[in-house]
Amino acid sequence: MPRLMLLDSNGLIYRGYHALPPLTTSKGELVNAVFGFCSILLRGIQDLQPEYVAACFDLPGPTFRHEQFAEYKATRTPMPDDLRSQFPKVREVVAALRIPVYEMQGFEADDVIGTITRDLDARGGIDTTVVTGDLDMLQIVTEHTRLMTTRQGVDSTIYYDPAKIRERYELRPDQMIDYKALKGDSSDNIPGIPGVGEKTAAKLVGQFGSLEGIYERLDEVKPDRLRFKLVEAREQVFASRELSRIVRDLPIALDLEACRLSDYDRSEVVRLFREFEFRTLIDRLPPLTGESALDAAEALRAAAGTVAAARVAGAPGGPAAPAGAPGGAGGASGASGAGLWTRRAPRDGRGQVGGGDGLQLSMDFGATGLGEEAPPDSGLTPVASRPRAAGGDGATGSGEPADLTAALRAAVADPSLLDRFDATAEDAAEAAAWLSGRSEIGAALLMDDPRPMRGMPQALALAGPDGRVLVAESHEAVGMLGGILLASGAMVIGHETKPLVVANIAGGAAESLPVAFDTQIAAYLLNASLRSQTIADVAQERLDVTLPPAGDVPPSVRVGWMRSPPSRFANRSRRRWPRRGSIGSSGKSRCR
Amino acid sequence: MPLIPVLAEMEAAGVAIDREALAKLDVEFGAEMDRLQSEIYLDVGHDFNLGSPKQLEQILFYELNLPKGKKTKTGYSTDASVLEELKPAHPMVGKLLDWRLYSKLRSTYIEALPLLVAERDGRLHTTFHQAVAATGRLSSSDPNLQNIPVRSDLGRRIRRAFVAGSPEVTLVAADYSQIELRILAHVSGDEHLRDAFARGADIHRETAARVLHKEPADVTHDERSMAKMVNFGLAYGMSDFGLSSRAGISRAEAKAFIDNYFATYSGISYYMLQIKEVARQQGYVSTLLGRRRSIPELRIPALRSAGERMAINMPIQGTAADIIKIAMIRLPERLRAAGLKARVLLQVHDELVLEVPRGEVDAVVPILRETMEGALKLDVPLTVDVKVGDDWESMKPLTREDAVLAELGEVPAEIAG
Repeated sequence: MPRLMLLDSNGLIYRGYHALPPLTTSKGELVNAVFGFCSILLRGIQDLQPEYVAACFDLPGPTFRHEQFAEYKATRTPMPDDLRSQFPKVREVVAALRIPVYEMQGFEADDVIGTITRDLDARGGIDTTVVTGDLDMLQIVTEHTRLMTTRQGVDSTIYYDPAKIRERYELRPDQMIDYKALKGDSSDNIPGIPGVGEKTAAKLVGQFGSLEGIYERLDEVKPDRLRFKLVEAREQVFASRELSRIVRDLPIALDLEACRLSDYDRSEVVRLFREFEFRTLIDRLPPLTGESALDAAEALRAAAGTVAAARVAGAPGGPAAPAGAPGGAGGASGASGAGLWTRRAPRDGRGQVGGGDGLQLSMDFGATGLGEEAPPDSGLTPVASRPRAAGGDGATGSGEPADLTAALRAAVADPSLLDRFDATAEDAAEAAAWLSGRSEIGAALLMDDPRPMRGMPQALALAGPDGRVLVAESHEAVGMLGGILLASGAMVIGHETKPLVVANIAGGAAESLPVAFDTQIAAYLLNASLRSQTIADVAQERLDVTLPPAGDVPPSVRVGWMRSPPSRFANRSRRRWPRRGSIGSSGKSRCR
Repeated sequence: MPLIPVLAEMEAAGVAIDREALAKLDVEFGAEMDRLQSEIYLDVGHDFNLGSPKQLEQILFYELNLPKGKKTKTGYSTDASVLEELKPAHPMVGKLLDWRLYSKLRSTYIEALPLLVAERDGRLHTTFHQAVAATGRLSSSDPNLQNIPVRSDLGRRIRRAFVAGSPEVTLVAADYSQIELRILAHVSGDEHLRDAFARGADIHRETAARVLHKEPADVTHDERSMAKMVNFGLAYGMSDFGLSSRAGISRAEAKAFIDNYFATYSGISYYMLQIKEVARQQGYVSTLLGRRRSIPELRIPALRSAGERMAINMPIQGTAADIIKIAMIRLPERLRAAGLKARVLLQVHDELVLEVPRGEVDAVVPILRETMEGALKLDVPLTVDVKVGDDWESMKPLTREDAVLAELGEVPAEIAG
């Protein structure tokens, strides 16, 4: 059954504000409530894997409850400014995630949620989880609508379904308002009956079924003292119950399709998370589906910037004119790479895919077409001579690198553009045909351990200037696709290419992977004093381009946001993107 | 870039590790550390935690009342440089330094190496970095081979764990002899130095003789070793102060020796002046092969002397690095062309370590020697000493010339350490 996650945004924001230490950004802005909200939102997405998400908010201004009951929430102090200022930030995140917002003037988020869940319960066919910060909504719980809330800060979650409510209170969900009317709730300024606590309230409601039941059979209530108090508070308890009764017939209807969790503005979310300095939250994000494939594509995209670096590095007159293609280039013939990148012995556990330091990548622009133009804004001279694959036809493919970069950008922004490569003869033949027609191909290899002979390939992504991005995820598929790549006679141009060459040797390939150009070496030759020559360092120094740190990539890179399989496989339901981790367990493996 | 596949092959090949040797070393090191520890306890009069800088500070400066040096945030520093100076003041200081060295080597190599061995082939695959050291030298990690102290006995013992992978193969190591001095002779054009190398003379004895105006035969052992320190120390920017403390002579004596040295080897003095000027003018220096290193430090007064040292050092060290890289690129091709199965495993400092089938040693050595010595044509000959052995510690010089060269090339422990 499809799943919907409904956010009681205000409740979560309050909860974060009160339960979390005062986290501030380096600029001194308090963001603890925003953090709490984002944290539990992402936790919910990870744990529940919902197909649909919607957010409900209170609107500022008095509600019908204030109008009907002067005392309602009267004990609450006005909202502190440092909490108020966090609301727009939460709304920004929600907007960037393209989660639709439901709210209604004069009513609280609880009422909106109550209305939506009542409607969905009536229609059936969907499981709803309301993510909230308190237990006011226990009354709307049904077999298909449950509550998720947090205990102790925002770290551990607890679910309330009818069974759980029965276990804890020995009551039905619809009895919870009667219970609360007797017990009282100081935060809502519901007085309750003096001397009646949780136990007595639950016992009374359990025994008589409802407030009505209690007052109909008052004479059965013992001891006398309790009976007198009940008589005295009669009006008040019925009023209290109405106060906490959630309105469920607002003129609101949920547009389920609009809530589908799919495309979202990832660059904007990343920007916001950076602005709020939610690095740990970002890092803690669990993988949902197909993460390593998209990570590889993302790494490739990041590396695309260094193609320009290669051109800069190869500028004539510099000390580092690109070396000619190594001997035997282009002679990587036949299917000798059959064993490429495959290692059968599985490592224990998943390693640390996507953890940043396990990332190795390389780019292959086919060596025949580095492009003629210098990066437009570099002010540097274009490359005069380029390495060429032996027997290459010299096709320059001018303009293609830019297209390739654009393709990668598009694929990362919209994962449905990714093509999945499976280790089948059919896919292999198709990939070989595709590769043979390309003058340049970008490649990114994701390893779980960058050290020689110890790492296992996790994913391989290839990108063509035609806008296609092909990804292989299993060891078998990576090995096969790598073999096809090698057999195509491609030459490698990349940044820190050595691990790729080692992986090739480790895979038992007869031919060495020919490296035509390595931007890291080039960058080193240009400035040997730079302590670190990572892609990000070099892109920053040479191109004035800031690449996302590896650790920042994951949140935006979840293919989990993608719910439809890649278009090419749209009609093959078996080939869904694998779903990583199961509910409740996947989070742990990523927690650091 | 042509070095990438070579390094990749080396990384993939890895080197065999003798776990039993490591276990033995662990016991040996442990026993030595225990011995040092009890001696230190006796010296101090009570037990304490040798690894705790705080307790050590208390003992050195308050119990033994040794002179206090640098201050740190929490108290007086007990780092190596401070202890080095305190060494003559109390016997426990030297023992403590030894203990620290044992402890360091034990944790970074003896205990760590077995963990770095790859499961699939039981070998150790280090990672070589081309783009880290600013001079152009290679560096390595997991483990960092460059950090195994070569010239000290302890470091050599670590090398015992690096062994030939099977009974059918053996290790062959080839080390450039005095390559930096030879490059200095070439770039400075100093006639005395060139001449000495051309004749194959004992360069340090020759230096001592020239500086002290003696016949080479009359040079004492101490004089020769002082000359050796100067020869090697120059590129590191050794001062009269440095020489005096290392050679155990007065600062005035050291200054006189250095002044005389530069007067005698005028080509070297001229080179040093000239390279600093070049660096200042163009902002960079380059190796003989044209690889550059920019030296922005020269423009910052506080860093100028460090910058000047880099300017003097980089063309020499960097050229040495270029030379061994050329050899590394050519060597596998030539070995393959000759139908040999020998392969290069490691590169450390000026040394290459190969794994060679026993039957191939005689065929490999001439190719190895010729490739390394012929990597770059200089005005003075490049020479390589070759050793063979089943582990990296107990390597035997292949010829009498190799033995002589090995001895000549030895960097004094005071400098190398």
